[in-house]
Amino acid sequence: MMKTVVKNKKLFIGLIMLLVFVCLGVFAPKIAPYPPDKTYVGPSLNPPTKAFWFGTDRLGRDQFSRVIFGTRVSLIAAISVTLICIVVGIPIGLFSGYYGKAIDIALMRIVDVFFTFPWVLMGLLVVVIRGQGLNSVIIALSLSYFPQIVRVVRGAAMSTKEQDFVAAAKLTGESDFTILFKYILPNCFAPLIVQTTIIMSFSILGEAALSYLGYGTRPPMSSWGILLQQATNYLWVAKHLVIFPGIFILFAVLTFNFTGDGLRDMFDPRYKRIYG
Amino acid sequence: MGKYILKRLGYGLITLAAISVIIFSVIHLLPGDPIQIMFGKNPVPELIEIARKYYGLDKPIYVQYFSWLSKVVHGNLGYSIVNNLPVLELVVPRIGRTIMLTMSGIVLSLIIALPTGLVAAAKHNTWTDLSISSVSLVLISIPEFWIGIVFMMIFAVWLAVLPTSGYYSPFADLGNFVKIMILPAATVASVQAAQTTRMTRANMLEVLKLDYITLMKAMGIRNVRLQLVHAFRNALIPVITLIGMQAGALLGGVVIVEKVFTYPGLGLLMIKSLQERDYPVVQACIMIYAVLFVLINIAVDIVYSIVNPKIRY
Repeated sequence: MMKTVVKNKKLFIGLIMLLVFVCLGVFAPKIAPYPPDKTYVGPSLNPPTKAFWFGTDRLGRDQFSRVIFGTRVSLIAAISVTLICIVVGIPIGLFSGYYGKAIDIALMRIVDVFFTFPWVLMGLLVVVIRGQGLNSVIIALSLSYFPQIVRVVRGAAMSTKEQDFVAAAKLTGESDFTILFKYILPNCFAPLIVQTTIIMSFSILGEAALSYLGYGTRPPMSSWGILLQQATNYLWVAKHLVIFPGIFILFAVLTFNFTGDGLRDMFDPRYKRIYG
Repeated sequence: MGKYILKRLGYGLITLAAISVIIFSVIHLLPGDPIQIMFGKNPVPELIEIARKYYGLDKPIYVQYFSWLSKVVHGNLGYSIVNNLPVLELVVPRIGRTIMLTMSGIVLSLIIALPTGLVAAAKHNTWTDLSISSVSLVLISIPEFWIGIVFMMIFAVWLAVLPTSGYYSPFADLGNFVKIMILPAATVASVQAAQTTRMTRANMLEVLKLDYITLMKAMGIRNVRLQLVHAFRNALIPVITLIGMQAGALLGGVVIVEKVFTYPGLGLLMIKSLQERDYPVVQACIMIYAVLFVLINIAVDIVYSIVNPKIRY
């Protein structure tokens, strides 16, 4: 197992980046040199120096500490959205793929509406109902991305249900529930895990964008999107504020893209030949 | 063909009906009774009763839904709470601007992406391919709004050659209109181009492995002609599907780009109205986005059926 991972460069790099990313989030209070919300720990709008690696913002808060704490918001968003998508998406996908016919058509029509509805609009709708906040962002992104899980699971379930071991299980009188979750679900695992990494990277981008629009976590809590939103007001005087949160978003998203690509190559070697 | 288009339009209408139900329910899920709010602190029960009747709020919810729907279909989108203007008047000029930005983004992305994708596939596993692939991987990992801000920082703040924001009508001042459009359109195009490049490259590589290409090579058809004429046409089909599937994400991306460059399109209006809690305007904007988005999908399906002769309805 370890050998395959090290040999698969993308997966290896991705997993190492993932480790760094998770550590940054978990140990944020230890890594950040200043409390992220404490004002005037340094001069206002100071460019990066030895004491303030990423400079300071308008209120003299340490940008490095704020960016590090922003990692937490991104991690929370990515993990929660993915978990909700899995919990909601797997049963729908299994039912749809296994039972087929009318159930499949009805479920997929509904799921398709969510699949195609723009996530920014979904964000707006949820904010209209629930008000601004990280929870609203998580709900909106989950509603937009769970169809991806449904589609992947449904596809895998449809091809698995035709196999002999499923027929055998049916003959031995196993209940539908057992067949779905014990026999079919494990066979959806490979595409499912690749899809979760994609949803994680989408969630990070989505959370940043919705926070940028002002729908996510409320200030003074910091999120990369909020940091960038504040930075746009000081484009002429403090360019450093724009650079670092963006680089962190890029880093986080690349983490999941690499991991996902690596996992896909591992599970489906045909892909590697094409995408390289 | 006609039957196919009708079927697509039918599906589109069903989707729109579903979305209209969602939007209508959202209005009703909102906390606070509008009539109570209207009367403020001194409600007179008799007057409330009359007002409720006047606005039709005493009727069952499905009756309310259909009367709302019939108004929407007739172009009556209600009035803005903030400035009392008809919502239709606020919204109409902005639809064109948003479509213009979206279209220029798509066209620009295709101009960049199709040749780059072709080159990357033709030079598979060389440095050219590697750099094109890496750049596009990085581009799909960056949020659009950050690209927009960075563009703004480089071209408007450092080089000071392009404006940061604002709008000129193309009919009044074409020169300034083009200048103002460059950065937003380039931002929309960049992420889109990265995705299309990856897709074009992957499809070309797949098609180039097929038997008919090997046969043509054996027949001695020149490589350039082989790539451009015979392989490219087949590789293009999934690219069109991709653009259709991304229509939703693209419209959403344009909302954010409008916000970055304060481009006065539908998205900016929607964001501003939500901040001001001007719900009639927000509803109208979301509904129009839904219509746009269904129309794009139908258009893509139709183009797809023309390009791909394998599809017979």
